[in-house]
Amino acid sequence: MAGNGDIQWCFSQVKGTLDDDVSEADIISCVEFNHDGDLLATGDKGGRVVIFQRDPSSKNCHPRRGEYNVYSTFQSHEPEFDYLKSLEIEEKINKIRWLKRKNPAHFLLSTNDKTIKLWKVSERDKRAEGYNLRDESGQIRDPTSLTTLRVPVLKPMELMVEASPRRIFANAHTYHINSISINSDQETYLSADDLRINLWHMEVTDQSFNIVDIKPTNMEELTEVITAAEFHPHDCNVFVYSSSKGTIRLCDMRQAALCDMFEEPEDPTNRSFFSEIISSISDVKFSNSGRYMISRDYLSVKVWDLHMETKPIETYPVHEYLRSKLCSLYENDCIFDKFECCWSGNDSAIMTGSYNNFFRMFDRTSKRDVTLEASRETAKPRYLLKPRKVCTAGKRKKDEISVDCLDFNKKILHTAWHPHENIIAVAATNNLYIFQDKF
Amino acid sequence: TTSETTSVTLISPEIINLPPLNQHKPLSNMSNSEQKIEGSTLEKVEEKPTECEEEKKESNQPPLTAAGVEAAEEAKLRSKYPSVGRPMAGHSAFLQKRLTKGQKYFDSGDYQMAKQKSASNKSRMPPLLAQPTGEAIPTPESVPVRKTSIIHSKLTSAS
Repeated sequence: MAGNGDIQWCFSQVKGTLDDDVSEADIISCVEFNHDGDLLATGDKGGRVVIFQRDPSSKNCHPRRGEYNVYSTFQSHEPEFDYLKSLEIEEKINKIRWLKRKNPAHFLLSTNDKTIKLWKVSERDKRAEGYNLRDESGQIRDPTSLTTLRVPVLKPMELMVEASPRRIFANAHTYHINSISINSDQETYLSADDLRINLWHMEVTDQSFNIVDIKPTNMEELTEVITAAEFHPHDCNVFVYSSSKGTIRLCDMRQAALCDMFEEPEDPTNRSFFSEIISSISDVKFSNSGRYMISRDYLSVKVWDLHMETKPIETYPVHEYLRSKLCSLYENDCIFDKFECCWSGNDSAIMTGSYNNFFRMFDRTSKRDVTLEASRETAKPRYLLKPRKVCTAGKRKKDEISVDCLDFNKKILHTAWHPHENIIAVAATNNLYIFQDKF
Repeated sequence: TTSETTSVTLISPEIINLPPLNQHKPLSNMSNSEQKIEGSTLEKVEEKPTECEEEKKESNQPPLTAAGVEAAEEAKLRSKYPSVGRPMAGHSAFLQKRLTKGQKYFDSGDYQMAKQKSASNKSRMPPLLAQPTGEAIPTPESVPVRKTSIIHSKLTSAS
């Protein structure tokens, strides 16, 4: 694991076409490392899942490299049509979550707006030969021609990675699923939509428990929606969910347990039209230690101590220069962009995305932060990323970029950090960038 | 009777993705805007930066607090869209729109038509000419094989 010195980030790889021919289906919609960091899964708008595997030689060579190659790719979800409501159900993969490894196969949950699927990804590197009833090409042999019996033998074959859907959890969400989270017990998981959270058991697909319901009896009184939800990494009875009003609720599923609400108090006289919109929390993540959590709202990332709900213990501004552009960002809908955030493996750093293909890293120990860019120009092997700076008013220094020149189409919404090493995956529209610490 | 030919006007893809109209703030499109294809650099939508700075000077409060900055932005919004309601009561209409994100179709037939239309727009051929009706009754052998649903992701190409 990394020391506390500032990390120097270098380019490692970029996946996806670098030309301008981007079809909407290629836009990456989620990125997730598995528990040992050997596998990296991405989901896209076209409903496909692509899994990359760490190149084993890149782990053991000196200096170590973070290199990933395609391991498996499959179509997870297809577009559907809800005939009752005459609504299209997008195949876009909203979230992927990995189960912990129990056997040689890998399991993951992937979800679109309505349906969650459990996928088994397994390797096959042996084939049985010498069947009695079939010949080598698979043709059925005439049973009357058999005079002897033989035992089939296992022979090695070229590695094949197969993905098969093992469970389909459907028809439990009226609204759009925004989160799934696997319990530390590895047997249950939650799925959250705009108004409800359901608890599932992996083995049961036709039933789920509803554990949170914020739907008002009269929809005219709707004031907030659920934006994200996650189970605690160690306490199987604890989960958290965030809302569009900027509140975070830490919930305990045990009978008669109370629920804590985390919200930073705001001076009511300072409220503007935009206050509630920019306070909407787009992502919430527990720390790996389970003692803290981070929340991402439009302009900042906040670190909360689970024992103190009155205010965050740390607040990091992501792109404060956008506060004076809220009017335009509201007009072009960017103010509703849902940025994710993530912890480093040892919880000492936080990462989140911004516009213009910029992403931000905050070191909690040194209190230093850096802005980096995922760009094609720097996509050269072991290229050391240079910090970027945005200037707001007046004189623009060399290498700085003016806030009015930022490309708001290039947004980094999804990022992931390797659980043990300083390797990060950054999704920039249709490209997946992998950066590593200067090993 | 004379048969009239109706001319088929093609809508080119560029026109479909119109930026929001200036008349009213679209309550539409609350969806996660991952797919904003239309250009949205700030310069196109907002007044020139120099005008902004003039406004700030006029308000006579350099440097503005966060609340002051937001208030200035709100004033800008109100001057453009006077009819936008203040969403302080939880902006229920706002949120309800969000809950029903996604284009609404009249029925499944409408959906199928829309899907076919977007596919034929991409191919830039007049819809009528793309699928000839043919002269003979098709047999299983003569019908083209149905495309598999997986169109390979470009992430899998070598890198």
